[in-house]
Amino acid sequence: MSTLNPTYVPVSAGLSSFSGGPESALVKRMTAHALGQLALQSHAQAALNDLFNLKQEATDAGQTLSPETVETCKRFLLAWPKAMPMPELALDTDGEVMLDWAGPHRSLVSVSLRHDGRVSYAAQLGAWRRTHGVEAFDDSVPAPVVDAVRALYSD
Amino acid sequence: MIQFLRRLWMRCAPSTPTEPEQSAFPALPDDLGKDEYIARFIFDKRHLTKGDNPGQPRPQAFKPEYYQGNWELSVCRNTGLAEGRIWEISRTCRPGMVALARADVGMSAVHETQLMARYAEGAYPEHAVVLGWPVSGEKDAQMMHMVALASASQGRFPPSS
Repeated sequence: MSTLNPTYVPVSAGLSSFSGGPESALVKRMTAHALGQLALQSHAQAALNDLFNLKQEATDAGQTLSPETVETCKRFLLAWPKAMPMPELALDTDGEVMLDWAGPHRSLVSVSLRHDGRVSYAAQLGAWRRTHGVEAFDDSVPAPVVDAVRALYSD
Repeated sequence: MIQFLRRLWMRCAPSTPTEPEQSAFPALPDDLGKDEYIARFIFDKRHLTKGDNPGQPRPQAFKPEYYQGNWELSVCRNTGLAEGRIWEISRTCRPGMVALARADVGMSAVHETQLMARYAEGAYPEHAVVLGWPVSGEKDAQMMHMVALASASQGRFPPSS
């Protein structure tokens, strides 16, 4: 039977220490950055859980959410920049998954994801600042969508 | 401006009734004016935000339906209505369903996004429809209207919740 090691030290321990030369500090910063990105995976996990809840809700309500759409949405969420907020999900009547981000001052970005990777998006970024369009998701999130969500939180 | 309204009217014309009908508001014109308010009832919890600002209507709450060759969004005309009457409609407009919330939107915001609303026969006399959605069904263009309406809306909850 295994037991917890009482002398366990987290892998990130000491990374905030700046003893040593400049090369050592650089390596420490790079390692901390890499570990930070890994830690943020839990952020995507919450959205993935929500996706599977949405799938269950659709089944219970007799609505259509195809396995292909679920898979595309899962890949979209995993490809989403980890340092940016995750969306809230909903099912559209045409079987696409809607992903929304709500920013300050009533700004909104909405994305609709189809099973084949078609990405329709619309954004209200200010009283007179609006944009919309259609892009393709091929395991990398289209730049206009990332830019719109970034603009949502940068103003 | 007149030219824009005429174009908008032409886009909406196919879905408008050919015979004049009796509105619940005989003193008001069938086309809703810029000072009026409409309410969109929300039946799905996923059509309300959960995050930092919970309870706000999401764009999906404003998804229009395709009806007789046109896209229409079914709404309740709030003008002069008592709160009690609005919530009464929310409990009866969809058989077997009770609205979780409603999204109030000013008609000025509806006009701003180049849509319009007019009286329409429905399950209750205060029924109206928002018209002027892109007829081609281009999803991103339709979503832009939905996002604009959601952004301009205010979520309200029944007194008991």
